[in-house]
Amino acid sequence: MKKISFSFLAFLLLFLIFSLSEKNIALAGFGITPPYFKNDNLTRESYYEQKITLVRGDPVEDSKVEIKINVPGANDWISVDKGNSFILPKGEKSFPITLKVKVPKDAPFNRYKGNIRITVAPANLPEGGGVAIALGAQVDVDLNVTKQAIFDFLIKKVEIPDFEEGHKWWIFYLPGKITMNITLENLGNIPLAPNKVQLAIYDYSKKNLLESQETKKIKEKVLPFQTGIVRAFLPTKTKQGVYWAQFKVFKDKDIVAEGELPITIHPYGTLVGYKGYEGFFGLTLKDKIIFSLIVLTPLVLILIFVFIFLRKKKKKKK
Amino acid sequence: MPKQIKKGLPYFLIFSLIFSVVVFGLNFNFQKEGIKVKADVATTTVQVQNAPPAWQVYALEDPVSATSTPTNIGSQVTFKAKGNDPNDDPYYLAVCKGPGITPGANGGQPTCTAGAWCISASTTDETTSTCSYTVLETDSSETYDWYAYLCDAYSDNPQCNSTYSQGSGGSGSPFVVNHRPNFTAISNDSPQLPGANLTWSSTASDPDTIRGGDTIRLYVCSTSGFNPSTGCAAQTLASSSLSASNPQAAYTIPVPKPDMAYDAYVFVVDQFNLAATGTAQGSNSQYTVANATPTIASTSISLLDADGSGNLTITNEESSTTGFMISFQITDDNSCWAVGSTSEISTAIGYVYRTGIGQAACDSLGEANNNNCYPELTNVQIGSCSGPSQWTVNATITFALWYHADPTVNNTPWAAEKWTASVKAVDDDNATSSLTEAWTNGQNEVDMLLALGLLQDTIDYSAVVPGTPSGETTTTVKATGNVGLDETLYGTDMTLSGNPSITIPANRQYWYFATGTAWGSTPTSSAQDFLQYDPGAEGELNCLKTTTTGSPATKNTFWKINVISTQQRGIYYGTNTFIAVASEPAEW
Repeated sequence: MKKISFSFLAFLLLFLIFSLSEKNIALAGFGITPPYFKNDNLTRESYYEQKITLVRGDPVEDSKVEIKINVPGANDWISVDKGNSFILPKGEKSFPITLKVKVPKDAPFNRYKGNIRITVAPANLPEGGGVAIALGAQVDVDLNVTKQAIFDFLIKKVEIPDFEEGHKWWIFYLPGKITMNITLENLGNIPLAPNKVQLAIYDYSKKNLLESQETKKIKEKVLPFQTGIVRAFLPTKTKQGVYWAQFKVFKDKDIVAEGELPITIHPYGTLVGYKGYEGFFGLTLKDKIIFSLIVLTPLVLILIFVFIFLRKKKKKKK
Repeated sequence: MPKQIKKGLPYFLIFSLIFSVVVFGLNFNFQKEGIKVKADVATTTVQVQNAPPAWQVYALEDPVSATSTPTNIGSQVTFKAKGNDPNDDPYYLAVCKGPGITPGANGGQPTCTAGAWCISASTTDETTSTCSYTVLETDSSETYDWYAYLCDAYSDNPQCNSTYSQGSGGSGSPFVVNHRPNFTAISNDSPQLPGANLTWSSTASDPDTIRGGDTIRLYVCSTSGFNPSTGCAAQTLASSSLSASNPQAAYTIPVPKPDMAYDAYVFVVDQFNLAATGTAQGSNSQYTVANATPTIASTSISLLDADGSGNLTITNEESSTTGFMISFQITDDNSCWAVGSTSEISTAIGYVYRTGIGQAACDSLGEANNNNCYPELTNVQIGSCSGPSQWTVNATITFALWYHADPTVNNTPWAAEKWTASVKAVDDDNATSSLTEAWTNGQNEVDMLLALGLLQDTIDYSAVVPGTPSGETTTTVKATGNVGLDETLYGTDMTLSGNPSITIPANRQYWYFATGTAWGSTPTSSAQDFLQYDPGAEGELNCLKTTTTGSPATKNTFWKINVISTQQRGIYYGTNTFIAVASEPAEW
């Protein structure tokens, strides 16, 4: 009897230990990043999208994901690239989805707040009864639809790739072509680029200013709510060598980025893949005028001559 | 007598008288040797001797060898003259070192008594005769007199003119010799950094004094090829101005220039481009370019997400996420290239931290903190280097962030801050740049990872007695992201196994945060409540943000169930949902 009760107690203890340890095994976690979907500068017909990454700690099996959108007044504008229900494949610790909002053209100008809940269904129901646990996470939504055109951006990076020095073309001088690659994040709701870019070239010692250039002609634009690169082109007469370039990028009249970068100017014709100023379109405005005068003047004279000749001929016939 | 004859008679008489005097004079009075009377025939003989050529153009130097235009050692002094021989014979121009000359026998060259500078070849009469003398290293005097003669090249009794010519003016005697400078030693003040001036100093002088002291110039060439007149055959590294002695030449070392030793061949010439003599002439005075410390432009530093854009997004809960990058550009005045086609930049070290922490508090390993400071990051990729002319090179440091790294976006305690990076580069000589922090635009945000884990996978109420609240059971939430957590709870009705139409309503379950709370205590929804259907209620769980990597923050939720007294017995199943919600920043 004593033997039996000892064995029974030992079994019970082991069972309890086993049971407790089972209970302490963490359910695979779940999360999202970022947990918000916000935009202050939407306007009618704006399109905005944002990647949300779903993360799981232990993706040993497929899991069903449910997405519920609860943004009063804007539920119909918001969609998910993967749909509102899909399978998280096993093995994928992180799984990106894209939330999209397309503001209708007649949307009231208003702020739309709510949330989007993303839940993962439990893998199995508990044996012997009880409550299974499903995990989820909430995306806070805050979308503002404004009638104002918002011109706003952040400069993320400025680069100046190597380029070649200028060269002679006929009787003219084609300057070297500086390309400033400006990576910017458009926070506004219209396509945009910086208003102005200034560049000052200093010698190696940074003591002597050699040349200053600026341009307001930045043709490329970054679409609303996107990050992209625009290029500013500036002419330079600085010869081959290494220099320091001090730059300023303007948003309206404000400097939104300034700094200095090392630049290398190569001899003409030595940089593989480089495309500098070429031909007529590479000339400065002054040289374009001179070129036009040189080329057009004889042409105009010839035309005048032909016109007079034909007129005289006509008169003779009469 | 006719009148005409009368008129011509006096003329006739005069003519006859003159004729008679002449005939008489010839026969009697004008003969030197007196009157000899020979029988039959009288014969006359005379031998006209050979006459020397005469100066038609006096001797001269061409080009002029004078004080201001001396003849370099090794160059020729050329003499010219033109002779006119009475017999139209050819002639020699002999330029002697002193007066006196003997005609050559049998039409050969004459011999100068004091020795000759030069003797021309036989020259046709009345054409210019030329002869040249190559100035020897042993001609140590600065001036040498010369005496020019013209001599017959005629074999029979050749003659030289008795008076020598020394020309006149600058082209006349003497000719002037320019001697080599003496170049005995060279040194330079290397090592110097790229962009700095490097100076070669010579010990050199010129022996000539006739012009008041000649001036000399120092050339420094990249190769041994050198022409005194045109300079270095390859690159002229440096050349001095003309100076009286010990010229110095400066060379600005270009940027970039690898740190190593370079050949530099040195040459001295004088103002007449005559190369120097001496042990240092043409020697290789190597110079060394010093190692420059690399630099990093703040503007080039960017803190980037793994995909290159946007906020730093942590995508692994309760572990680390790698692939984040610091991109930057290293500038080295020694270029990115090193001897042996290796990389000048050996490594770089990165430091990533929340701006509120600051560089000074995150510049050593001891200050590491997975919440906000990641120092000494060394997983570096140096970009490609095309060669010694490439001044800058791109580099990337890849690093990982732990799941609880402080977020800096809005609605976090650190919304006013960002994350930034500092970087230093180390070259192959272990020279280390200053620790440079990214410019403001290169900073970035760490985004929120809203994640939770549960220590339980079910809520097990075990056996319950209808009409009596169950015992307390617990679910434990842990913060597996980088935010503090609240939770929204909702559930479904529990269904009877085998008969789903029989249910226990969700609101028979009761949750609360204070252990020991009685089932059904006045609900507050934020701290205790009956379980609701979707969308449920948000409980202020206030699970703190995790701050210790190996010990995530946790918070319990307690549960009780109280089924109605008439609830049919059996096993029921249901599902409760825990929605993670970011808690208020003040409660992290």
